[in-house]
Amino acid sequence: MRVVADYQLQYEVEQFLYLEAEILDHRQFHEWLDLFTEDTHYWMPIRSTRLRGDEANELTKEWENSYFDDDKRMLAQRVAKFDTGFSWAEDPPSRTRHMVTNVRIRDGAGTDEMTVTCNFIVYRTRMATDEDLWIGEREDRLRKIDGHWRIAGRKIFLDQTVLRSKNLSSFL
Amino acid sequence: MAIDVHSLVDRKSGLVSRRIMADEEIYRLELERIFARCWLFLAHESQVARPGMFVTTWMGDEPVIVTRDTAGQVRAMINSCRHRGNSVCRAEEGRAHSFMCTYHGWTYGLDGSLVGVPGYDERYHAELDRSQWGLIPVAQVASYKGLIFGTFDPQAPPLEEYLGEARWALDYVLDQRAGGTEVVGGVYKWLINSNWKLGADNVMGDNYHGAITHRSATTVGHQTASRVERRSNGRDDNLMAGPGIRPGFTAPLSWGHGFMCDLQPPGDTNYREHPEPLRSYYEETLPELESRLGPMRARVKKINLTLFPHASFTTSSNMLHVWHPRGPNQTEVWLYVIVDKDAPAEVKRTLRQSAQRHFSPAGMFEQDDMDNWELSTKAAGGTVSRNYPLNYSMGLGHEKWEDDGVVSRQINAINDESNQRAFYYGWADFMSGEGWDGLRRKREEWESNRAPGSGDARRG
Repeated sequence: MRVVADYQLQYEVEQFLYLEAEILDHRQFHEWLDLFTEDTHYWMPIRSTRLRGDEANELTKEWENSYFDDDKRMLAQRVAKFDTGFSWAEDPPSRTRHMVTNVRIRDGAGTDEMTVTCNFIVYRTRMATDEDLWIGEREDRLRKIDGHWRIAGRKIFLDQTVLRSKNLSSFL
Repeated sequence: MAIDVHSLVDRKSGLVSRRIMADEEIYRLELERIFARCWLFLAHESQVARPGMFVTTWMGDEPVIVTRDTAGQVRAMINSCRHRGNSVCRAEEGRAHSFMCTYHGWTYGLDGSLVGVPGYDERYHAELDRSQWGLIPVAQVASYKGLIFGTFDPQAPPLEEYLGEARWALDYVLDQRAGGTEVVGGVYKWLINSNWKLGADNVMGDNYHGAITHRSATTVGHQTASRVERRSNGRDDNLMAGPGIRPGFTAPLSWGHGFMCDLQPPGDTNYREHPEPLRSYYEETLPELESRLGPMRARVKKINLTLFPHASFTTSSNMLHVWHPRGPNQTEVWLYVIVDKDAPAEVKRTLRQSAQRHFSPAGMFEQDDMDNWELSTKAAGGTVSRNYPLNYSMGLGHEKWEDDGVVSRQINAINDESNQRAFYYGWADFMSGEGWDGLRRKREEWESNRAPGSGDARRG
């Protein structure tokens, strides 16, 4: 029975992450916001090249700089920016494709809050030939509210050190 | 090399050739005449606070290691083994006792000296003069209030002379409090397909673009952390104000430096609309700031400064952008967040978040800037379009100088392009290959031409 329950939960979690990816790729950003809890934290540290033995400092810490360090209000402001009619970095809009793989439930299976990690590849292309590829690992805190999974926290660990993109006007 | 540099920057009309944003030959000359000669920002002292700490950076196209050696002295040298040229340090920052080349094992001390050569006796017969084969040193290294600079030119004037009048603005960044500053951990680094000069000229003088470029961010109520910020229901009053509408000035300087400064009216510090913890912090530290820097700088709302060639400070969120050139149409942008060392942790957090939300690659402002500069650069290389100059003429001939002994400033309009013109005048002076004596004469000429009431200092 345990095995069946695990299958079911794994399936449920994967479907949730696929749905989120689809919502982003279809530019339904207000629906995307609804997937986050009110107390969510969306965080993406900076990675730097370190010598072996110094790996503990490869990613910036919570009290250091980061690409994203957003609460829900800030995420909502980013979405509102798209709607102003003056958001030039996204006008014309980016075309993104979010690929989510290697989904693993880390803890909290069988409860209403769990940690889920996955790998991601996000391809962005814009205008004629602009291309970006963002690859890394995500650690999501998922919470079940009224029978629906919601994202109560997201940590995004990009593999690049020097970001090979002019900006990060897309969500990962 | 047949480039007539002065024909590329037209001082009579304020026009600048598009070629300087795209031409490979001009870019090679920039590396030689600007980046191998000027004082360049290397690091903040807090990044190499103790012996053995190092960071790697760029000086033009040269990779450089900045260390603090065992004697406590800051050193900078080219990150390339003298034997075969391989890098001797591959990390962005860290700690080390020495730097060993991974090719044959030549090993260098924290001061760059060659301290180890495998096979020194049996293969080199103890004849190699190790004292002559240390890492190529940066000719001069010096600090100004916590910032480390270096130049490859042994003839370059002392750092303080090079910075000149820009120190008035730099002191506002670095010297508000007795404890000095530090950088927040983590340097943002990202690659944009833009010429390096577009960022440098934007920060120092472009008060014109905000109303359009950043309208989406200001429309949704995005705010900065300026020390004195007048908030007006999400509307950025910084945008379309004309002469006389708000107090402030530009300071177009010689040698390509320049800054602009927004001021509050005397007596109106207007902290009440700042969210905590900034409000209390700014109120509590104002007397200290005023006693250190004087009454005018206590009224500063924000300062935007570019130190020629490529270090741009924006005090609205305590940021330093460095525009590392990676080719005529590519720039590696490095963004540092500078905070008062003695500020409470909560204040540091607020300032760090303000910079991140404002001007990091995901920042509400930065996203839109980068997009513009990439397309400007793209258009600069056109076979036909490159013959049509860029227009930097705004306000030319309408400058009005004031000098009451505090700072020499141009007060007619904060929304003109006098700073950008100063940047390109300085650019042309360096690019013409002028020696330091000649450059000093140019500086004197500039300073003597900006008498109160006079027009563009360098016009004609």
